[in-house]
Amino acid sequence: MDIEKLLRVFIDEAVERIGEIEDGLLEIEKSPQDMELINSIFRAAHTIKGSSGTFGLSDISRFTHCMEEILDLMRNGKLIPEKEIVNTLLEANDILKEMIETVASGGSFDFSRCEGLVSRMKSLAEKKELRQFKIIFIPSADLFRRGIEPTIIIEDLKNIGEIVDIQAYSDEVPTLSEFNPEELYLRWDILLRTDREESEIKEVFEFVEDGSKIKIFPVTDAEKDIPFLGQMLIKEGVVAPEDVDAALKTQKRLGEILVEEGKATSEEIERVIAKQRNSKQESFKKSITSTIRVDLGKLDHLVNIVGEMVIIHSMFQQFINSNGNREAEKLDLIFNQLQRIGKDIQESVMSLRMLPVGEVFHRFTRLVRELSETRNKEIELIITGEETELDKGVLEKITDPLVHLIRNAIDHGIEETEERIAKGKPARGRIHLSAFQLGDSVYIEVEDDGRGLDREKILRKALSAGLINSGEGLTDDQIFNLIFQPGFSTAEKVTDISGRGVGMDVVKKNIESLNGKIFIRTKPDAGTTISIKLPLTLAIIDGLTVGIGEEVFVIPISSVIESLRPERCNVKTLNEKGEVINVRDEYIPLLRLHEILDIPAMKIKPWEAIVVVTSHEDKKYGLLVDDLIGQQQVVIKNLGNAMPKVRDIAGGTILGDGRVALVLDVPGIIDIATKALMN
Amino acid sequence: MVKENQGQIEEKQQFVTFYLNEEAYAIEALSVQEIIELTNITKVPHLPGFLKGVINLRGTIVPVVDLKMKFGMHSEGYKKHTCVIVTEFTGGVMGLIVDAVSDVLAMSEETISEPPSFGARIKTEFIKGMGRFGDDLVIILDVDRVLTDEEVSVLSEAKEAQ
Amino acid sequence: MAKTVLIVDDSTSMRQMVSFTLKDAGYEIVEAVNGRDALNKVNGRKIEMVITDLNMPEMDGIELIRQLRCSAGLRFTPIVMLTTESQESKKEEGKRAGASGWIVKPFTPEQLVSVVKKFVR
Repeated sequence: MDIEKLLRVFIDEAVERIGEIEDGLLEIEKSPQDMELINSIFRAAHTIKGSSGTFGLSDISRFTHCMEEILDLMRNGKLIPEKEIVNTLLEANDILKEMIETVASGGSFDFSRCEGLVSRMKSLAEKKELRQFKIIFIPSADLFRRGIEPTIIIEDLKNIGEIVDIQAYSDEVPTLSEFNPEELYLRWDILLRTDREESEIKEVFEFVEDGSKIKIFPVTDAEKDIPFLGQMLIKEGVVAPEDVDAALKTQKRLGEILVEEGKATSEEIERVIAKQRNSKQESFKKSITSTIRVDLGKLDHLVNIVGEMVIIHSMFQQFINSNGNREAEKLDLIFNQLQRIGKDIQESVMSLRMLPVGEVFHRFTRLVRELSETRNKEIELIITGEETELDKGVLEKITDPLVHLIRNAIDHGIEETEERIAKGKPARGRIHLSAFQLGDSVYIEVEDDGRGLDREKILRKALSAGLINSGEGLTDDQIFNLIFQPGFSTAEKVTDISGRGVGMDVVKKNIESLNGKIFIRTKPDAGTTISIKLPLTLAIIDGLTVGIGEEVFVIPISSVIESLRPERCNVKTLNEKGEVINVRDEYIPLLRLHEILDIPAMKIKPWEAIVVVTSHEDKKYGLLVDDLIGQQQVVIKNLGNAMPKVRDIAGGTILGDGRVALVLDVPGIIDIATKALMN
Repeated sequence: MVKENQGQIEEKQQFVTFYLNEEAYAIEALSVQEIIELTNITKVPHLPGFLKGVINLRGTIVPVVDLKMKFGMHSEGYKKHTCVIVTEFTGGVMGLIVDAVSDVLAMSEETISEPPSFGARIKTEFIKGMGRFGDDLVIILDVDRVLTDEEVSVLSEAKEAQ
Repeated sequence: MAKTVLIVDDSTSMRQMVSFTLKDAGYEIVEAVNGRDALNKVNGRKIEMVITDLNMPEMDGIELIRQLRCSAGLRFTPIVMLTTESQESKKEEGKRAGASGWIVKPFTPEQLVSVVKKFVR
């Protein structure tokens, strides 16, 4: 292997490790005690440090070493992964990503940019002990009159450490008759665990020092574990310190109790606890141990070959059918085996390109975190269905639109905390990102519990933008879909410094270029759900080939329930509702495909032709065709980008004889037919 | 090809020439992918008339346009020499059905003049220029304009809304 | 609804810097060029916080703080002073007049945002 290839491998590996570090850091905020997790982040950084050193990239190696030092302290329990440290590491990781990208593109990276960051990391890594401090905060009574809110100051402490315990005292609050609402009568005792110096803690109280009594002193080990209540009781002389101690010790752990009662041995308990720790990390580590990197070009080629194999199969089948001879039966048998193996190969190949959406979804956690911080809103991102798989190409193209939708939900959907509380909603807004498979489509939904879409506002905007002439006769659905029109979103203010003028029309176009559809559901004050429906690409489907007029069409078997030739007496016409056929006492609407598709048909009378009964959204519909030709596997190809989209056609396929047969989009056809009926 | 009197190398562009009802037209060779015989066309419903349907090009499905229909010219159907010029334009790949394909010609900038402002059989927006090759006058088409013409997209949207 | 911060400074570049930084952090900004202008601007608006320079023509920062603390609407509103290192005595005066806090010039955008966050959630 030459140096180029080696470098390529190094870069690919580094990119993966960087991704692991980012995912891990985001995860660590939720579970700061997870040693296994911290360890894996450490190992990822350690790997990059080592391999970059091997390649002579000493600046990158030194930079990564800074990150590694901090992570080392964390995995030894000497540093808590609190917000500031995590943010710094995330920042460093981003710069590391840039450095690797620069190496990949052959450019040069300006390391002087990182000096500030490096010194910040170094100071974080200076071996800091965690200590506990007791803070007595007796604020000056006139704090309100100085425009200061004491609780905000106390919350500020969270930026430099962990508030282990806090007690507010209201003993100074006078009776109602003497009570002056402009005065502050409360005081607080706070127990803070931090690695900072006293002076830094004092700084938090910088603005309230005047007139207030603030005492900060380190707490000794003995006193550390006694909660404030216990301390108070001791102070009041109610109990002795030994009593509190003894009481606390009786709160045993479940494991200990079970061992005592002989229900389990301590070894077994240990084993299970260790397992519990590990299993959580399984999903996170899965990607590290059981995958292999594959060149995308090779995969695409494989996919193409498999597609051609399917076509050859059908050519073969046709040949066998039309050249029936004595050996036909044996040939058929062999051919069936061939087909079965072929189907297996094709399913496996298709699945190679499929990736779980979770990979993309998890990157959004960071986005939501940062945006909610800068927008001053409390927002939680919930992700479900991350195991749902999508084709890699589709996954990549869906990322930008999803980012846009999430941004929208945060900027315009979720209200500010105060507004939410005033509306009786939980202070924290929720964005639910979900993915699931239904039939042969994958749905991705972005749901927020915000203020919902404002129908009137949209109408007004559309009118003033000249998109419609009047709002008369438009259903709610049609009004909400106006936001997808180009020219609708002329951004009034760029809410983001790097704000690109991406509108919903671009989102819709992107989705449609993937052969997908986008829907809106919204309710005022309850929230909005944007639903994206995507086809499971590489549609190699089982199709029913039918003849209509001189053309051959394919109907996906997944939509078909049965096919039959109705008796004349079972075909009825209802005024204004069209035709129906009676199938075992069920009346099913009859849709004449030759009419919908505008083709001259050979058979007009249903009782001389074939009706294919299909189902769509729990309703049955009968499609009238001339003949049933056969059943075969079909590769759905699109009709070329240059072709305008037609509602009732899903794509085309190439038959064994080289002709193109159109594949029908059953829901599309039913849609057109039912709309025509209503007019 | 060197122009003798000036002693310098002249830039010439290549064009594929074809006939529509005995009239000569040309399009830039760079945008032409290949030229094939007319094969079975599968009709696609709800499309404007000149978008005849799709064909199978070695496993890829390509839509085809009948140029004479698009330009509103009289047509007597497809004959022996009718073929399809497969071109690439901004919207993708499209096949153009023409009566016959003639030569690939090289014409230099200088032999190409501005399109006439009136009098041409087809809309002037579709014409890039008039090329002179020997004694013949060839209408050079702007394929992109022809295929991205509003008509196509407006119509398709209208059809969709049905 | 975004929270509104009033910035009072006779220096256009200072007002712009504060405005830009805080808008990016999600706040709405109202600008005033001196104390008198500020008193006009607070009428009819809900101001969550005031950031004011101390040296300004027509009505300086200290006087503005006094007036705000006497007003009905802004008595409890956080007021932060923009001070320079050499202005220790002015800072004390401001505190006595009722200022909530201060930022020393020159300051970085991060420092500005972190001080604002100490007073407005």
